[in-house]
Amino acid sequence: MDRMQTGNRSPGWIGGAFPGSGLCKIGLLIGLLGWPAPLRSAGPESAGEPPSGARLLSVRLLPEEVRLRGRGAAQQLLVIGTYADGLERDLTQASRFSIADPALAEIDVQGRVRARSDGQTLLIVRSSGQVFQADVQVRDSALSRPLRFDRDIAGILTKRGCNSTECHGSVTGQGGFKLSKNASDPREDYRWIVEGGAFHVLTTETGEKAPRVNLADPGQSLLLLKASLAVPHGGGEQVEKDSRDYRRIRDWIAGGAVYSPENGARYAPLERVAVNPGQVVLQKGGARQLLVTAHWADGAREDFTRQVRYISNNPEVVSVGPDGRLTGRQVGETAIQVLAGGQSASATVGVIEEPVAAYPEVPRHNFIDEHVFAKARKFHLVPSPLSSDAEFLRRLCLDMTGRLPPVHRVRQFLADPDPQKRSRLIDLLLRSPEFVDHWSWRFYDFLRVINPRYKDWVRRAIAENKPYDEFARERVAAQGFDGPSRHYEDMGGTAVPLPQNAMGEQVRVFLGRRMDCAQCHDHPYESWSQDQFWGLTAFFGRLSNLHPGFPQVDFVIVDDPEGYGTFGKGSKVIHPRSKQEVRPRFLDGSPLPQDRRDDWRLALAEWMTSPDNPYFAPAMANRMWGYFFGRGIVDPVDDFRSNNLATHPQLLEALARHFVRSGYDLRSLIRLMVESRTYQLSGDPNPTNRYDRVNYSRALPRPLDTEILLRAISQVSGVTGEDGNFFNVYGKPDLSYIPERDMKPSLLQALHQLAGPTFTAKLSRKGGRVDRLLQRQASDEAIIEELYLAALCRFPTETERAGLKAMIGRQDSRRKALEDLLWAMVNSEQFLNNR
Amino acid sequence: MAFRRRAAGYCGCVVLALLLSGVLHAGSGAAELQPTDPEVIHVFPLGGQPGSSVEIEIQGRNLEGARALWADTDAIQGRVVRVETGSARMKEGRKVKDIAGQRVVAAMTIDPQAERGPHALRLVSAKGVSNEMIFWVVPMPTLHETDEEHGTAPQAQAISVPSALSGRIGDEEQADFYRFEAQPDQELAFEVVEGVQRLWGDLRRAPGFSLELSGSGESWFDDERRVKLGTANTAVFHKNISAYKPRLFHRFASGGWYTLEVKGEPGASYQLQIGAPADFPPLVRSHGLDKLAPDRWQERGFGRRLEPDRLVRLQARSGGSARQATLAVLEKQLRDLMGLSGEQKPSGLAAARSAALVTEREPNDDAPRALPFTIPSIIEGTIGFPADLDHFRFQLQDGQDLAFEIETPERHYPYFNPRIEVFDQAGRELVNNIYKRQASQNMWFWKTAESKTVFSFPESGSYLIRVRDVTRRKGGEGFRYRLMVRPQVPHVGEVEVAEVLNILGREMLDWMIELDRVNLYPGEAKKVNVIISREEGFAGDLAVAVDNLPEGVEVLPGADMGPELGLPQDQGRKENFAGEGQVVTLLLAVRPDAPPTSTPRWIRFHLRPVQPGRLNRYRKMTGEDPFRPIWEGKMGPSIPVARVPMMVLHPSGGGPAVSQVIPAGN
Repeated sequence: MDRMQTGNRSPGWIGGAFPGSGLCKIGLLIGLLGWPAPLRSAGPESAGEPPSGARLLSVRLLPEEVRLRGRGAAQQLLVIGTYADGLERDLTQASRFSIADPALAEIDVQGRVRARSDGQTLLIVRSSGQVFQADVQVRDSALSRPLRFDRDIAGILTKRGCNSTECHGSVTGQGGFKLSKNASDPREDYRWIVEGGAFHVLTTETGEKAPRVNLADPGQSLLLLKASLAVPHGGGEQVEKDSRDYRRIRDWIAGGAVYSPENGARYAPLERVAVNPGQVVLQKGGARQLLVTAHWADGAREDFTRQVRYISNNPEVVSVGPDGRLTGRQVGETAIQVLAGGQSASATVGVIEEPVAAYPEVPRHNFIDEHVFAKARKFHLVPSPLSSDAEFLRRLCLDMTGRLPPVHRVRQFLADPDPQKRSRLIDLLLRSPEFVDHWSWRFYDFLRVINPRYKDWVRRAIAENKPYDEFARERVAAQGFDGPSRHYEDMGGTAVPLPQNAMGEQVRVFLGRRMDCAQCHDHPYESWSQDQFWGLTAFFGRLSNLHPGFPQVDFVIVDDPEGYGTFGKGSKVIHPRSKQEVRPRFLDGSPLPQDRRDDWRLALAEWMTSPDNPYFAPAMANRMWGYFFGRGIVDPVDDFRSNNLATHPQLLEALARHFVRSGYDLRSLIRLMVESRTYQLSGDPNPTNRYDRVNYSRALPRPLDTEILLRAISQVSGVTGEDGNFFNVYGKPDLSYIPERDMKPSLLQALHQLAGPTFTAKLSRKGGRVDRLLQRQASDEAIIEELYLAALCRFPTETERAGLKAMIGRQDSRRKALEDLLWAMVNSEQFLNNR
Repeated sequence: MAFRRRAAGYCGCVVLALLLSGVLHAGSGAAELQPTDPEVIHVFPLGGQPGSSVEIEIQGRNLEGARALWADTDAIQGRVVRVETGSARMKEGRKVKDIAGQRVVAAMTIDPQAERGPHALRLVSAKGVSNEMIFWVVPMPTLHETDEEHGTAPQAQAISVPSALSGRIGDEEQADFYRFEAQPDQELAFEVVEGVQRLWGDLRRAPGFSLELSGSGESWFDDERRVKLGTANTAVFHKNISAYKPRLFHRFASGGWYTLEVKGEPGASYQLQIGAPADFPPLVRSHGLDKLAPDRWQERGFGRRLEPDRLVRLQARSGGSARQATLAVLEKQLRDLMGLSGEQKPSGLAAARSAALVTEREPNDDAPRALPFTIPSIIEGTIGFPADLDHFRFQLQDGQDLAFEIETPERHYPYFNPRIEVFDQAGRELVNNIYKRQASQNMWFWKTAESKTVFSFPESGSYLIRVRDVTRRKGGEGFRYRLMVRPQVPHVGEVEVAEVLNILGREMLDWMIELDRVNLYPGEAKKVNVIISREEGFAGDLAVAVDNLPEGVEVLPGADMGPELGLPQDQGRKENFAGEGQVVTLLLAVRPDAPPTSTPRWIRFHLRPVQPGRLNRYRKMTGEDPFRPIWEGKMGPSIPVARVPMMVLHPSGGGPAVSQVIPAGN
């Protein structure tokens, strides 16, 4: 018997009286449909050692050669073993290292090589009975590199967390001392340290300036006194006195505290940092060392493993030490952020319980499966089998049209022997008017569509499958009175929205970024600066409207060179901190070209929707993915940021490429997704993927959106319309704001499911499905079958048929029993979710 | 109906509208506050074909004793067949209710030569003359809606095309459905027209009807599914185009049966016209209803027609062709007498001739390719494509006061909003037609594109005009404009004869509504405000005259308190965009012994500008304007401004037992 559980929406039984023949309903749910199966307890923690029988296939050394340059240069080595169970394990600490010529370099037991003198020698590694050699080259070992602020001091401030958002990198700084987050603006940091002064958010005034360095007596510099806690410091001791970092800061001050030494060699800035490996799979309890390499602009590389700051996004899953050593704590997946001065990188770490030795071959339908299953393979998650036809039919209809298929169509589809019937159904639904209804509604939701004219435009765009880039351009650059321009009316009521609000929404909707925080200050968690925010805002500086005069309230959107017409604030966009007029600048800082200055918003729209824009196509691909898979590859779908990483970044890139190449064809993107095997996987878990929430190795049950749930209940009950305060209870976004659906279950929902009219009166209303079936004098078996087909898109199993017939026969009132059955079905997890 | 508020303000207007609907509703229960004027609420059907006869049903209140129909044309004949007591469903404010009233059945005969379009019709009852009904004479066959249910798509009534179908919305929220067969590639136009101009229409957003066209949905889910092919409603709403009707055009890619849904207010009757697009003229101000008010002068509004003789017509409203000249001569004589010198600008008199017609020629997208023209001219042009710029150039030999007037004959606000900019030789913008001022207690700027802008050019030179749409997204065939550049002519602009809204005996602040009819018993009096706009510096004295009054009715001068002043607001360059307002208050007083009228009479309102005549005396002053002449005036030619039907009612409520159409030409 298929098992139905109380759904995500249902917080479970809470006792008390039940409506109708209450105990009958409990009996139905618990007796017939069953309790949710208890979670299997996690097994004992593995020590991370190779499991019994796991054969070591190969061993490799990272990096393959060692190049050390400069006094004290060092390189961390990693010895990685690949095992027959598919896992890689870190063998570094179990390996023995030696240097052929110890006069040139030394190595410690943790595999860290340090330069001694110039020359070339060999590194010998013994591990698991194997011996490896690698070249070691040392240059300029006597040459001390002059200290630079942006490279060395900013790097120390980053590694020590001084410029983190919890400390001086916060919006307001700490104690008047403000540093750019993660040294993103080292020149500004330098100014605050060397010149002094207190930071204020709303003005550039700094008050009295007292340098935080003491050139005459470097040890008495406030920078060092505070950091070493020689004077009271709210952040405690951050740099131990006489530590290497302390000495470097002191030496830099003693050298004149210059930004960059005049006699310094040609400086190549830090271009990026790379983490190796980028994806790590650990067995629970296992450990692994990360290797971080700095890539300088001149092509040079340098081991930065001990010069960066590591942050685990979920320390309960994976913890990370200050030296970059990972430990798997709990089954799951998280990201490790790596912060160097002005640069960052990340690694994805998955923790598994047990490796899958005999991983099965999983068929692929398209490139989505290649990406998803490749990662699943790496993370030892075996995808669930293909969904049943019934499961697929219900899922597809709900996802593509927001409604359940009618009973006769369910019968037709399930009986159809054509192996291509899934593709045919996809085609059919893509052409259906219900597809247009549903996706218009989806767009109304995230675009906050209220105005009827705006609705018509969106609907027409969906019906005509208007290329999404064209759609976005028309909306961003909308002028006049036609549909897209009405969204500025929806935002502003009787006046146009403030430029900063208009900009913030467009960026969030079309680029998936939330820049709003940068309105008042540099973004606290992201690298958006206040200047970038206002540079983009200035594109909306001419946004204005024409009023026809009372009683007309509909207005015409224009771009008036005299400026935006709201609240009489005049014609210029003014930077709130500098109080200077801001000219339009794209996100990369480039100004609006001279030849585009007659139509600012159109220029912005074209920039936003350009195929070269790295944000536009991925943002929509991700949003659409979220609709079909329950979560975005970046989730929430409109919150792309460096510490909210994509679970499948290459997949997202590939989807975005497909989207661009298809001419921003939304239907093509949807077809691609629903044709993938990933989408068509069953929701039934297996032992390897039961905890998987982010890798799509099985279909996750997704609570139906409020409007879809109501329609589904209406379809099954045969009674349309809203009863009571359903929308209030289940949540419908207020389109006055950028909507965020709250799908969390609530006590009110539980009560509504028990006694709310949608779940009670609606089911038993005269003329409804049960009433009609009874009027037709249908048999119990026929009614049971129709209810199953209508609600769950499947036939009841033999056990269900027999059990339900017996239950109905035992009840005094046949009608009541059938209504109770319907009640139990619409309260089941299978109904309340799209599985 | 046009509303006017003397002290401009926006937020207050909205609040007022809400208050108004609430107060009306609250007060409607008291018997003593029941309206007494005859009021037509619904008419059904709304018209017929030339050469046909049709029986119409008129619903309304205070129609007891209805005895005659009063039409604006002899081509429509008819008589009252019977009057029954009944009720009428109507919407007041936000509420729909049934009101006690009457049902009048009338037999109408339409002459085969009757002019196509709307005709005014009023009912004459014991309580006087009613409001105006609109009777539509249509070329296509007329149909009636079926008595059978047709409130859902499956129940849709089958109709033929072309046709003009008369229907009536039943219960609240009910819609009527019709289905018709279209041929492949056939293009049809659909429009819903109403029969009654409703009092509160202008205060409501999107009143009236909506129209939705749908076709088969070919749905896998629902065999009955329809898909929307087009919609139209009255959501676009503007003082100058308030008669926009739900209208849509559709070319049917494939033949078959299609469905139309008409939605409207409960009880409201309508005519659904379906035909070839060529039978549907462009939507313009009042939808052809302007002819029902022949004396109305339209100073502004993008829909007004700018003709080459406009200057001559303006002169006719300037108080007589000699007024300016007389004034100029007298002033010169006086200056000579005083020994003063000084140059006077050329007066508008010199330009009292036909304007030249100039047709725009592309390319004229930049200043070097600007098309030259002389003043006065009417330039006919088109914003042919989005972001199209049209440039024109004119020369002034001297400083001059000019007016720039623009008409958009096909598309208006909000779809086409021409922006006119005038630049000097140095490229400096001197003036444009975007009127910007602060509104709502200075909370935001309020900008409007104006159809008329005046500007005083201080010096000679070459000037450039640029015309474009305010957006850079609109343009095409329908974006035609006619720009008139002419000398300013001081004249009398729009004049409105209005009554003040009174609620519960209290004057509704400063709201006035255009006077539609006057029904008075002997001994009663009615306050009437004549609202005059003085344009382009018109400074002469004006007298208001009313003639063709029924016997025993006299016009007395009245007095009114000035408008309340709101918070000071930045009015911007108001002088460039608006005339100076003046309100004259009159009382229409009926003597107690005045005899009742059997039929309505058009009482006619005129303005009589007072021309400067004899110099009485002058007083010598000091300062920049060293003399103060006092002239004795003489009455100039009459300017008709409005006509309003009036009846003196029989004190007993009775009247002659006639039943016929009364030509409204008296």
